[in-house]
Amino acid sequence: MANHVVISDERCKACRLCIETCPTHSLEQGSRLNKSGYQFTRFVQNGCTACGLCFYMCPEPEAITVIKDDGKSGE
Amino acid sequence: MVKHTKPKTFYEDFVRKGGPGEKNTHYCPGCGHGNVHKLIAEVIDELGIQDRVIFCSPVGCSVFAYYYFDTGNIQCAHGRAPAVGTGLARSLENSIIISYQGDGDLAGIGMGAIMHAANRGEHIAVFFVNNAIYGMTGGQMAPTTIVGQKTLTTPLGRSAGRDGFPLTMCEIINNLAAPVFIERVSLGNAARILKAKKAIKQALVNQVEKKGFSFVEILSPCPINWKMQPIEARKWLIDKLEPVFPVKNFRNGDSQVKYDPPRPVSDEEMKKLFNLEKDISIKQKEEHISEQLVKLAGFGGQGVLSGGILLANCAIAEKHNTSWLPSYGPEMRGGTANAGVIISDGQIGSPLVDNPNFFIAMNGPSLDSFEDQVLPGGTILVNSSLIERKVNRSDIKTLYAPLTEIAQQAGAVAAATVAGITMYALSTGIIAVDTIRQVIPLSIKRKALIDENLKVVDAAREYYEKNLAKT
Ligand SMILES: Cc1ncc(C[n+]2csc(CCOP(=O)(O)OP(=O)(O)O)c2C)c(N)n1
Ligand code: SF4
Ligand code: SF4
Ligand code: SF4
Repeated sequence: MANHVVISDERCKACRLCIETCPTHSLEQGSRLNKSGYQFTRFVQNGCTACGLCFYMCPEPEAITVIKDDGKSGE
Repeated sequence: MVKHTKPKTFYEDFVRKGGPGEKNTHYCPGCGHGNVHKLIAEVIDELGIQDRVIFCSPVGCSVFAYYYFDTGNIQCAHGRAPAVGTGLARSLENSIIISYQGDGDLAGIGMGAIMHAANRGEHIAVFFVNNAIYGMTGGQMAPTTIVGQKTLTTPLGRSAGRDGFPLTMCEIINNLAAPVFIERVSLGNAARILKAKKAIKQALVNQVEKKGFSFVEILSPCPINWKMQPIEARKWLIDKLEPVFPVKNFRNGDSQVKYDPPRPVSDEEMKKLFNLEKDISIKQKEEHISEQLVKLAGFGGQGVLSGGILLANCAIAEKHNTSWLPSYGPEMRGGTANAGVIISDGQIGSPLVDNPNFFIAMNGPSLDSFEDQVLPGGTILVNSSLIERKVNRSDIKTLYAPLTEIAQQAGAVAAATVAGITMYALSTGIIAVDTIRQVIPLSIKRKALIDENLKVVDAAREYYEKNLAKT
């Protein structure tokens, strides 16, 4: 599966730092609220390179996981 | 393949934090503390040192770091993490000590602690999160608040003329000889955060390699108290904080000072320090003694304190548990002084002797002060050279002896308490006169007076046997 990012909806505090940082514009503000009332961030595939910048920009331990394409098809 | 995810050094769930967000931090959105926590946790993972790390957390927003880090944790009094870290680093050789501190904590209330730890070159890694404000307490001016910055307590902006300039901690610590690594980093953007990780890693590698004191200052946003959106706060950090606090390495190398690690003092050194090079052979008595509460009192210069030490040393030499507690006024030599000595075969709790069962009164005021406190059935030894009156009480034993004259005739007028101790030994049988003779050369500071002191012991024994033995 292609490079991508998994956002943990309930962990995101909607600071938007990851969105601002992503060089490929693969992250955007979502429209739904999580249980804490934050309008959590969404991943949109736009050529993510799994660079990890969003991960380092994010202050939350578990909001972002970055997955790199390992050449295998499927999950 | 998972490339980046939550480091293993974090707990799976933050159960101590509790509440609905058990996997979230308690930090505000966009706060830099979360970034720093992630970097430290990742580096601990990479170095494989999770079981060796002790994380000293401060007072401030990061007070609850122990919610998150699955390492050793101690939450320290405000500003004292470097002092706690010092104790840990010096006593647990294999540990890796992190002192995590905010700017109020480190550069305000804890300024003394950090300066001295740095100056001693303690083996700790300090992560100094500088957000230029007191976060936890609601945004008061910090030692690192920049000139013009508006805070709760500088609503019109910090004024250098009124509030001083911000303290630049890396520059200040860089004046000291001992630290091995000093660097300032920034959380302004992702590239800077990756650089910050490198500095954090170097500081921890320095602990693994036992290189020494490592200091990383991290410029970090506090969007809430800066009253900014998270993205805006990162920009302000780069535009406004970085010019005041230059982001750079200040030092990276070996310490100019050779660390002298603490170690136990050897028996040989101990003997030298206490003049015990000469072995003594003292017979231990078989039977247990009843607890002795001895008080010596007189004026300064009569040897009251050193007499107490002599008695205590004799008791120690005979393998009893012993305490010695001096008490004297600010005038040490001119005023009154007393010493309490407890001798016991059980455990000694408080070393205070409020109610002695043996009281040696060296002068009149002491007898006046303490006569009534002696336990019924106890003994008062009165220095009749200086005390004219008799003891009033009838429920105690009394001994009268001209202690000062006995000492004077033996050539050591200052050793009158030695005569008193000798008579205590003869009257109670708790310690042997022979023990006093053997301990005097070890216990007395002025070696020139050893012979005179021994003569005092002999003269006191003679007086006692002649005049008091039958009483
Ligand atoms: C002995 C003591 N004095 C004062 C306080 C109040 N207090 C709590 S946090 C804090 C300042 C924290 O600021 P900083 O170190 O910059 O950390 P931040 O919260 O910004 O991360 C103060 C003064 C306290 N808890 N204990
Ligand atoms: S890994 Fe890089 S490219 Fe992919 S979403 Fe994150 S920042 Fe964007
Ligand atoms: S940086 Fe983290 S917390 Fe902030 S919006 Fe992105 S995923 Fe959410
Ligand atoms: S008050 Fe400031 S330092 Fe404290 S958690 Fe919020 S943003 Fe972070």
